[in-house]
Amino acid sequence: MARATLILPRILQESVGTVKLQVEGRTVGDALEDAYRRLPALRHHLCEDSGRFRAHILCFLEDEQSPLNSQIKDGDKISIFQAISGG
Amino acid sequence: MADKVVLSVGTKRGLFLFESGAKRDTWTSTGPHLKGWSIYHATVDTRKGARVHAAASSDTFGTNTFSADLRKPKFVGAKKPPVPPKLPPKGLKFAKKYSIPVHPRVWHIEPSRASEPGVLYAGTAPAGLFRSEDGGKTWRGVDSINNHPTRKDWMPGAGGMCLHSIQVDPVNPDRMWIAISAAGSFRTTDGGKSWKPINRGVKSFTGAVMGSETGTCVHKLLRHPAVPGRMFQQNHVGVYRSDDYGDTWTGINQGLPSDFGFGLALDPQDSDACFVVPLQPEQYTWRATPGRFAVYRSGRKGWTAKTSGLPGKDAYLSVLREGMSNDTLDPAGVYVGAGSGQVFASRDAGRSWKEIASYLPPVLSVNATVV
Repeated sequence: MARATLILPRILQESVGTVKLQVEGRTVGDALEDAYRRLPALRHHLCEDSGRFRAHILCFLEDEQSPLNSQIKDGDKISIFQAISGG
Repeated sequence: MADKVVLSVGTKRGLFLFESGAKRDTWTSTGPHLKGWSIYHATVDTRKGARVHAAASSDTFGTNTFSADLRKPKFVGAKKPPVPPKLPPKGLKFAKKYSIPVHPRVWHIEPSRASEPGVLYAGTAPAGLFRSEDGGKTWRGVDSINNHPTRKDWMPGAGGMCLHSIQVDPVNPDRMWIAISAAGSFRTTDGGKSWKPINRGVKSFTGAVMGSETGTCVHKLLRHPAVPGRMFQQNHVGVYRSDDYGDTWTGINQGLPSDFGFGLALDPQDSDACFVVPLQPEQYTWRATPGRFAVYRSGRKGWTAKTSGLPGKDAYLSVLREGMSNDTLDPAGVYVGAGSGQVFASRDAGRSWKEIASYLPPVLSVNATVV
């Protein structure tokens, strides 16, 4: 079990109460489940009913986009981004 | 005498709160609050202090409602947000065929009657009614309307299939109304156990006068506060009035330059008066004022165009279905927000107007509350 920092988009501050929290798990998916338990509205904002991420949501472990089964280690940073496009 | 009027202005990029004294001659504003969220509607709930409630949506992050004390608007989201139901199969097929957006929205948020201070209702797209009994912290779907037997026939309009109007009878705890584009209006008289379509007399898209069925595109439904049973609706195909709690409807759009419009406001001091902004007919495929901005007021002798203080030339503005509101003072204040970022206010029941904001993000909603 590792402890990582989860960084959320600023837009979610008022909805879930924070945009930075400590999470635990063996994988990115475990860590997100930990966050969902503690921030009840977060799963709704990040996931479709199927459990998959909504469109245009990206998950990074440190500096790389990473699948949910990626192993994490103490001190890692997991970041959720909203894809931005247009012009 | 009221202390002030609060105008909640929901935009595509957050919420702005405008305040004025009861004279409504000067306005101050704060915001944007809830940056990044599209605020389809917001209101101030005066039943227990003064709390702002906002209906928020994001194309990326879905839906939620937010609440805050008006004096210190630090918003907190619902822990259990309203999650809109799915489109019925026929409506989904129609939406795909015509590229109609199906992003979930919270479209409207409405405090219940004074005797239920913790109860709020929210309307969503795809159409759903939600009820909160804890001031907006958690929401539960109202299955009796969300699973209504006619739902299979409800269709999305160009803005999606939205439940946009919620009207609560202030006296009768068992009676309330909702309206859905494009299904029609519904009323419950048993506290929400059952809902009856109330579209008799309204025209359908085919031009047929409707009976007890659904299938009309009501854009906004309001109950007049002074006369029990009197209601108005701006429909896709005209403006209608009812004097029997919505059982039957009579068209009153004779004299308007267009049947089409979205928003609707009332004059609480005059039960014959409603306000609309007619928009260019849809055969031109753009829904804007036809080069001249006018708010039309109904009366016993028909409609009068109110233009004093409004843009008079080359004005092609759009006003959406939550884009009009009125306060409850005498004379009534009337408010209009435009998709191009302007907010117009009248403090004399529509006779004259003043532009109180010019460069906001696209305005989705205005809502006036006397606090």
